[in-house]
Amino acid sequence: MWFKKIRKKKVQSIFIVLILMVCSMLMTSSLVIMTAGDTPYKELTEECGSPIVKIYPFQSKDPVIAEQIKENMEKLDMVEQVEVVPYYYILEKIQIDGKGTIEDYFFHLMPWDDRTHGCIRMLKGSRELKEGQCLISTVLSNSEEIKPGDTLNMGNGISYQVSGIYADPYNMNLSFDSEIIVKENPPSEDLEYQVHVFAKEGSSGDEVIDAYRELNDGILEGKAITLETRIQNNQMTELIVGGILLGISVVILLISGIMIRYMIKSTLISEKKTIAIYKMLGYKNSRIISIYLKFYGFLVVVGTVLGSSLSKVISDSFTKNTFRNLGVTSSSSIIPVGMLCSGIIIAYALICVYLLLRVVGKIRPMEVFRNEGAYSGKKQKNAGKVLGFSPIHMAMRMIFRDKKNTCMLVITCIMATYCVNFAATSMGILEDDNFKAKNYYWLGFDKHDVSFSSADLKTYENTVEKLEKENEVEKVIKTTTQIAVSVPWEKGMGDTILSTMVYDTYENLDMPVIQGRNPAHSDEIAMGSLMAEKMNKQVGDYVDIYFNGNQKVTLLLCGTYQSLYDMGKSCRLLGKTLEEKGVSFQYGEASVYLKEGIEPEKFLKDHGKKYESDGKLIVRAEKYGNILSMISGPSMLAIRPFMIIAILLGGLNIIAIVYLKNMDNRKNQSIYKAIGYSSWHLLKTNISYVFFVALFSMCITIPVFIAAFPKTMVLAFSVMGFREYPVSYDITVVAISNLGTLAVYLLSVLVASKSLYDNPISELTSE
Amino acid sequence: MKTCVIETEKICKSFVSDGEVNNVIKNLDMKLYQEDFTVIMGSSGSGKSTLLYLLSGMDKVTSGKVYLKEQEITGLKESAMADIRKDSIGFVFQNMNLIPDLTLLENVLSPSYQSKIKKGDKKKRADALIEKMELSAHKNKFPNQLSGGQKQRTAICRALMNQPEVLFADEPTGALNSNAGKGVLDTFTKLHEDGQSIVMVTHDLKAAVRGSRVIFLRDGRIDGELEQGTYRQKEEEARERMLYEFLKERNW
Repeated sequence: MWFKKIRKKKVQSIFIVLILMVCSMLMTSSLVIMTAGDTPYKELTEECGSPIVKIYPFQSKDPVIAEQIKENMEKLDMVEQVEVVPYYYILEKIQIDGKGTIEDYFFHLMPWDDRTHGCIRMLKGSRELKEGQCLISTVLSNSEEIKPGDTLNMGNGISYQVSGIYADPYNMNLSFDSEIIVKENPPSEDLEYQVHVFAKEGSSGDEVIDAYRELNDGILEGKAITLETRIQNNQMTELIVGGILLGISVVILLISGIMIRYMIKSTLISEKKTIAIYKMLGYKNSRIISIYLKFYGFLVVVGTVLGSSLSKVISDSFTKNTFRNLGVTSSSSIIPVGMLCSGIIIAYALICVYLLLRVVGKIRPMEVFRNEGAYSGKKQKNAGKVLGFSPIHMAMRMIFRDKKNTCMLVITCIMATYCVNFAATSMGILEDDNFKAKNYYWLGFDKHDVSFSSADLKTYENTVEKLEKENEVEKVIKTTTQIAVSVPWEKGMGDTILSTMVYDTYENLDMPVIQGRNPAHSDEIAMGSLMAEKMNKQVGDYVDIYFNGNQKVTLLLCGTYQSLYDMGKSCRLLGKTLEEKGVSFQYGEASVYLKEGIEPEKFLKDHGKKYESDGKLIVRAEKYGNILSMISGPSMLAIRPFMIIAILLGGLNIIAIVYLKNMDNRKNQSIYKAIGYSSWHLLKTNISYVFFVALFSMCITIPVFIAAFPKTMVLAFSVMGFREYPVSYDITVVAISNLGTLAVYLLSVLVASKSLYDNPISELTSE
Repeated sequence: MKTCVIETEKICKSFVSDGEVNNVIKNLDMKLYQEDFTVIMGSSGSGKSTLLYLLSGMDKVTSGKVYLKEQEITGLKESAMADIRKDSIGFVFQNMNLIPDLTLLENVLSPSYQSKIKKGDKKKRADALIEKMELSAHKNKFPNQLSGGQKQRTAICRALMNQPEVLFADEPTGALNSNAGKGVLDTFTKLHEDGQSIVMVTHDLKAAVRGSRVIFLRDGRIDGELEQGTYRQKEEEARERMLYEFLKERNW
């Protein structure tokens, strides 16, 4: 009996299956994207036997410090082996013969070490390295299309031929410092040292670091990168994309619940007489409910399982790169996640269905037979108000007299409009040019015009002087980020290192703070609000910090600010603070301010070549481009489909609502036709109805969105200490996206109203 | 000399069901005249309601032509047909077919959108019709708050709103009790007296005697016609006998 209903209710069945399919597809794929890397990463970690922690000593060029760390580490029971490894930091841009230059990423040469590299996963070539050969990571190979046999020129006469491509957990993302493995380091006085720690089975990197600090009064003389942190960071993109998709799928699931309830309700209303007849024939409520439950249950299961099965298409497109970089060919199985998601969605949908079907018990046959086809018995509040019969008047009447339908439509329009505005505004902010133009704000440095970074610290001061003398230059501010500052360690605190911005002055710089101000005196520090909160400090309090891990100083917290730089863990200091405390440092970067009306691009064009040998001059908007791309890239990747899905779902819901409304009103529409109304007039009525509802919804949603969006984003970025999220709304983008959404809604009405042209008036006699 | 208001030329109507063609109306020629109260009778399945829908332009003929005041209405586009239904035709259904979410007054006003009636006169005309049908006390009620008779009188008001050339009625008393049915028939008689052309389908003898002309339909063809003249209540019994004889001759 229930199976015949599918044939009778084809359109409704298709809608339910489609809506649940989209929902299940998104939910399954989001979870697959978030978890797909787990097993391959675990397998890679086990296979490679990589160090559990890599420590970059603050005084990286001093082998004695590295040896001290090694010595202390070896005292820990959980540590199996410690090695001090010298490496060569590549300052020049790497040139690939015939294929251009590698920009924006950081690399170092690491000599082959049996313990560290003995088990790395070789994807191409062999582990056997000869002089002049190197092994590169698969992520570098994929990103820059480097193949074995290519030669990498690293400046200063250093070049290597790629002999193999490998994968290991520490070298899966170019946003972090990457290793190029060579047989031996090139001869250099500037070698730096890392400490590689191998732990006994069962110990994590964080446990090792905590134990080390406990043994050394909380002090670690370097920056520790644990294996688990690096793997977590490698999976960041998947986590962001997956998280956004999961959020969308949950919203869709909730809307779907409402939609399905609405569809079932309209079915029950139209089948009230049938149900009454069943009851007259002696069917129990439970028997009638089971007929409908089987029908809807079948649709729910089909839609959900179909969606889960198809989710592979979405998840594979996102995880493709991860698997490629891991050197894994087969994608992960969707079966366990699919089963879990299907279970959740089926349970949710069936509960929605069952709760509504209980209404069957309230249908009393005699009431139905007496009152069949009657409109709601409730007296209408505006019954005395006579409206006209133009499409607009009829639409207004529909709005005021069919409140349930209108509410459904308003909810749908509000949800879809909010999602579209959210996506459009986010895209406006994250769009490459906009995001990079405001890099000073997001990363917390000063709004200058051109950035200079020195290639040779010995010539830095001369270069700055040269820059200051240029006619177009107004001022040059000396800066550096190469200072190691840490805060006092407490157990469970994790990494205590702060990224430090040292300026020779903060006067008259556009460098926003949330509270207080930037440092003006040598005993002052400004901190990222996240760190200040972690340390339970407020502006006006004194904070203890360590230079180079062990030199403790107490400074006045003069201001807090927000920054995405190093996930909000940063601080601002004056150069004279370091000088007075006897901390050895040297400026290596500079913020160049140009005179009014001078374009940075023109300045670079005119003077760029002149400074090529001194270092790198770039437009400020290009500074830290890789960090910003790491944030905006995956978000943009997820936001575009999010926007399309939101509009499609809104359209789909409108089709469902208008279609079902047309079905419910089929007889009324025939009556209208019988008394001289054309199908086009009825179609215009539907269009006006949706237009007014959508317009009303937009009038509510847009101001709410404008008020809520910055707060939502502050909440999302609060993990990085964000307290403000300035948004400048682009009226054109907002207008285009909302008009586009409105157009999709109206198009949906056209699709849903096709039946208006089909229903013949002669149906009025066949009752 | 009577003026022809509707004329048909060899009209046919067929329905296809399970691959079988069912010819309901077969090559039918007929003329309906202005100010006549034409009653179409026939046994169940004879095609009388189908014929009414073809004459009123509610349904399309399979073949043949229908003329309304010498204008061919078969083959007109949907929007042109809608204009004809609005301006020239009024229709009263057996099951009233009022729009449930409109009040009585709104139902009556509903055909007047873009009609030939002046904007300011619409409400006046609707009120006048409602008053004439003794429904003034109920004009702000919804259909489910009205009795069967009230609903049907509302449907008649609606059908008359645009002063149609012809008022069609399909079994207008079929769903009413005898009292309400008589009230509706009295209304039709009064309208006929006022010069309204009416075409009514019925199988009720009491309703059929109200007509000035009776057409009997059998198997989609006209089987006979009876001219009764204008209805007078005191002649009712005589008319009934005459009609009874007419129908008896046709084995009804």
